[in-house]
Amino acid sequence: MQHLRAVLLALHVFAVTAMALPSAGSGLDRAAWSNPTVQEEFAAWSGRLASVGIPMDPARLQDVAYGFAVGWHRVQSAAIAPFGPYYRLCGTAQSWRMFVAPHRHPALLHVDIDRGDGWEPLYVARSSTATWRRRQLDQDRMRSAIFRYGWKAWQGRGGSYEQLGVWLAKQAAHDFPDAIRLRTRFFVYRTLPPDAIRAGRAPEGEWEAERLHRLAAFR
Amino acid sequence: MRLYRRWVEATSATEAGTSLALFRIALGLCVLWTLGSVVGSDTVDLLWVDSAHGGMKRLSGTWLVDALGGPVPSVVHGLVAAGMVCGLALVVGIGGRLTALLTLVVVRAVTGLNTEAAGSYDLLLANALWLAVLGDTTATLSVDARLRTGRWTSARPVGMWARYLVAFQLVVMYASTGWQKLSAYWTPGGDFSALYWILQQPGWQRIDMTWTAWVFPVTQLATAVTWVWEVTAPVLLLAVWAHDAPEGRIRRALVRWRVRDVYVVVGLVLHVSLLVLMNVGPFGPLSMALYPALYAPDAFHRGFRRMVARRPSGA
Repeated sequence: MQHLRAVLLALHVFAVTAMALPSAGSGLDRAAWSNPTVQEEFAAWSGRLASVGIPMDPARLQDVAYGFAVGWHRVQSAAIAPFGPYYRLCGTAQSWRMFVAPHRHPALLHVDIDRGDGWEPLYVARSSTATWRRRQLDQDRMRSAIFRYGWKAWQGRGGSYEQLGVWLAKQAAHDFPDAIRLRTRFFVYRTLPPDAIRAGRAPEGEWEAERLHRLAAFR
Repeated sequence: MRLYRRWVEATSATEAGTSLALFRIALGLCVLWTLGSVVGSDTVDLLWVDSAHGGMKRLSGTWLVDALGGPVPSVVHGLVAAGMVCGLALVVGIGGRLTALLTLVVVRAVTGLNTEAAGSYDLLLANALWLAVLGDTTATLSVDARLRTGRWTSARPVGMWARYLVAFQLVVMYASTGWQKLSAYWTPGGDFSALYWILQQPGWQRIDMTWTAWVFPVTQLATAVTWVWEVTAPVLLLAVWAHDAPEGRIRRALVRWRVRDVYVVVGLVLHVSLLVLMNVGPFGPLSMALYPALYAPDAFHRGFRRMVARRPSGA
């Protein structure tokens, strides 16, 4: 019994450690690397390497990093493959990519309705005035989902972001009987450095992922 | 062979169940928080019911949800209620390992329905619940102990390995996230501005955080401390071990310099700060729920005796 326990505990420790080792995971999606936040990271690291005598332009650095990440992912995947059922059935999966890099170009969700005389804001993330359905949309799990939908990969036709729009349209059709259309979109901006905030500057950005929903369809 | 013998000895050692019991109680409260916060914000249907029945997404279901009839309101509401009952049962310590297993199955069935609306706290909760299945967490401070012995506390020994697995999980999580913080904003050589920028992200803010621009150096210090604390987290496990077996120069030094307490204090400050400034769900409380495992039961017994001794006796 002692020996069986010792062996099983050793296997648990190995399984947990092997899966928790750093890995790019979903970051292996090279398309996501075009995000400005990711590009800024590579530019910063390229500058750092150059400062210690290793000149490498950001594009080359990305190729090297991607090659290493893919290779390491292959090794790690092979090591943890036998433990797949253990992770799946017992909930022992490990993925701790938490705030590994600040997102310098966040996307702020805006929801507006049109009653026939122009758009009016219903919900704006973190706003204290446009607070429709705030209790639900500000819940931490919803924040997690909305954070994802701010990335292009989640904004495909019929995808999760559009499904959220349909749900919002259904609620708006019920809550505002006179409304005609609902619009969802993200305001994407670059967060400001301390001196810019102290100087009173407001962030500048652009609108992305605009979707329109006719509310008549939901009444 | 010698290493294997030492491993067998280490995994055969026993101790009182107080630390594990405190872990179980805190874990049960976190289960209640995890599900209760969704109920309280009226987002159960929005998140976990299929769009054909009032939710926001087309959901594929989890095995238990599918077996019960799919992600429809009656099934999801029933499971959420069952999960909260299980959480309460964990707090009071009834049902032993079976309760922890049921909680794990139910919570994963529900939170797994919509993985886009999930967080690292779901992973941590699942891992912690599995450890509560493995370890004997209701040996003391539980209804189980009361039913077994007629007292709320019991000296029944439990495997010390269970407490170490909890501590190990905590350290693995901290170290793993620290080792992945390779951003130029986190690492030495940069300006340690990561926390400042993270606090500017609107996604997780509780309040407007532009005020941090006036205390930027404080955020830099916090960034450096957080990074070092996470990256060196394995030292914490060594410090925990050192307290249980203070042999050799290094371990005795770790005990003398109270390295474990330093890590714990920094961790508590970070988690509480995060809780106050950002809305990242029950991650902080859940992480702190694992902290009792960093201390041997004797530490709690001594603390309890000191508390009792300080209490003014009746006139």
